[in-house]
Amino acid sequence: MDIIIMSDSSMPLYEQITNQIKKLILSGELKQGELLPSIRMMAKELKVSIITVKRAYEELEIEGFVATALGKGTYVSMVNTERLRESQISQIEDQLEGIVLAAKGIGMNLEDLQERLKIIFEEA
Amino acid sequence: MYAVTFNNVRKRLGDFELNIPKLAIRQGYMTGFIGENGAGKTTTIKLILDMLQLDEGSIEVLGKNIKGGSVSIHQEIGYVGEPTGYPEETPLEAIKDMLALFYKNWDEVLYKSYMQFFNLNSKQKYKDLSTGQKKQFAMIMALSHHPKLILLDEPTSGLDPVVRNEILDILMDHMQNEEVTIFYSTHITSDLEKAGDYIVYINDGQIKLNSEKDTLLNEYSLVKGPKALFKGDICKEFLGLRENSFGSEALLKNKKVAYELFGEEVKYSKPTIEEIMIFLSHNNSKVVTEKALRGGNKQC
Amino acid sequence: MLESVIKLLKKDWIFIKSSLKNLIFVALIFSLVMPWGNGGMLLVVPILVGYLFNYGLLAYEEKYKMDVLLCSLPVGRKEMCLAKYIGPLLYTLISTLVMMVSLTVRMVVQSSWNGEVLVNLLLTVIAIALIYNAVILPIILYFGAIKSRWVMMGGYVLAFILMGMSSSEYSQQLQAIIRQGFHTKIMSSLVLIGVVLYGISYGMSRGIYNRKEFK
Repeated sequence: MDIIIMSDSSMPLYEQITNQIKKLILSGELKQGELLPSIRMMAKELKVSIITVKRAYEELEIEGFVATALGKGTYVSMVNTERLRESQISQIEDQLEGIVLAAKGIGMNLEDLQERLKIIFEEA
Repeated sequence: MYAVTFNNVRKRLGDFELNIPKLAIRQGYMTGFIGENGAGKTTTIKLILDMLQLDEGSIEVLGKNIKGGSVSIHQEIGYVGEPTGYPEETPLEAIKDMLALFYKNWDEVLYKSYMQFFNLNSKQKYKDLSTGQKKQFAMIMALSHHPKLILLDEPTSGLDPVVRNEILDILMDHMQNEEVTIFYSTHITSDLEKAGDYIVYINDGQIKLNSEKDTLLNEYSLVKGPKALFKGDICKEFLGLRENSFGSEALLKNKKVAYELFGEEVKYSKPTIEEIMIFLSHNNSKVVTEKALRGGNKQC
Repeated sequence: MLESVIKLLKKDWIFIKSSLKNLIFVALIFSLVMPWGNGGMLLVVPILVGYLFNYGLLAYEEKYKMDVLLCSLPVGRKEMCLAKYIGPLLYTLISTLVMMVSLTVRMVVQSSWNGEVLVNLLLTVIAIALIYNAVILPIILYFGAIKSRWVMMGGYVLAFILMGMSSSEYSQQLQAIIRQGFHTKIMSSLVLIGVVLYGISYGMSRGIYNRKEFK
């Protein structure tokens, strides 16, 4: 399982971990029902604080990606990943709508917007 | 819940006074203990170990009062001091034999595996080890009896980053057990940046900060910009302010508040633990602290 | 509690055996050789051995801050104090035994065998050991071995002076008086006094050690 975190990024560490695990789940690398490493094991492997990993796991649980069974650990939720992906897509679409409205508001046209989108996509 | 609690603790040593009305160290986590030299870190740790007598107050460790309970408490404590206190002319094996006698949970297998891991020869005399190896051995002695509370006073000073990483690894191994607590006093804050769960900052004998490390690093904000922007009423929000010939920097408790006050004309960054410590300290003459600011210091 | 004291004594032995072999060597030499000197010499041995195993051991511990480390061990101050009282006494008694053996050999070789003298000397030596340690230990525990070295030096020097004096005229008179009193009964009571002093000293030291700070 590859999780790479950057300590100097402006995104909080727990968010980075959450995002990376989400990606692994959505891409299928982490299968449904599969057990995640224990919080403390993950903290040791990544050399981050236990509280950070705890928070990441809690976020994932709130968003429905994982579930915790007492005594067994945290495992990938038997959740319809398709549905999750769709909800993520609709979130992105909402944000795009906001951006498009803002761009239109200052008179930007589609090509201009697309070009900037391309640059940002390549840089991020 | 808490591995160590301090209640109304006072201790005077010559001119210095340690005054800790309340301190609670959570069980199962790594708490970093930072502060300048002479701030009281070693005194605090020695009080927990009953090496110094309290003038006032009480300390509880793992649920027991240290007054009267320290013998059984010490079974569960692993300690690395500064200086380590190991006799120079004695071979490592003899030192181990001397100490292992006293611990019910001494794990000879674990000890041997640690010795192998760090490549230490038990027939060597302690004085023949390098500085790094001496600290490694002290750490091995502290950990080989499966302690529940690990007290470390500058355990990695003088060690290279590779060795420090190995030691952090071993410590986090011990933390796989949810009952193990680490209280880690150090100047080398990089290890705490990574794996510390809580940070306690002591200055002039008093605890000035006790918070989750993530909160400190994610919510505190270091603001840099032209001097003019750092004057006026907004000074009250600063935890500390530094000026040099090229501009000013301030530390604020809350990123959002910082943005509201300064807007786009400044640079924001995540402070390191070291920077937080520098801004909070009293002693740097170019640093103006919160106390001074609230007192209407004209420099602001 | 006894178990902890035994562990402490074991620990001290491991320490001496592995790092302070010269102490053992010197103590042995003194114990074997002194009985062959003039009268007063062997009375000095308990003081010398006491010096070695008190100052030698404790000063070494203090120098490397090992006493601080030992304070983090799961052992109570009471037991640590008791071990400091029993340990040196044990070593002194052993060296006394070695001394007596050596003295017996001398007596046999020089055909001057005298059982009563042997017993009286034994008792005197034990009494001196008890009294010397009883006086010196609270001082060491209160001030620390390194600061107390001047006091110990004083005792050491005094011992040698006494040794030297045993051949002078003045001391011949003193020795005559001593020989008169050199009865088993008197020596036994001296030992008893020594034991009592030792007990009192221990009581004092326990109080001192309980409140001791390891900075």
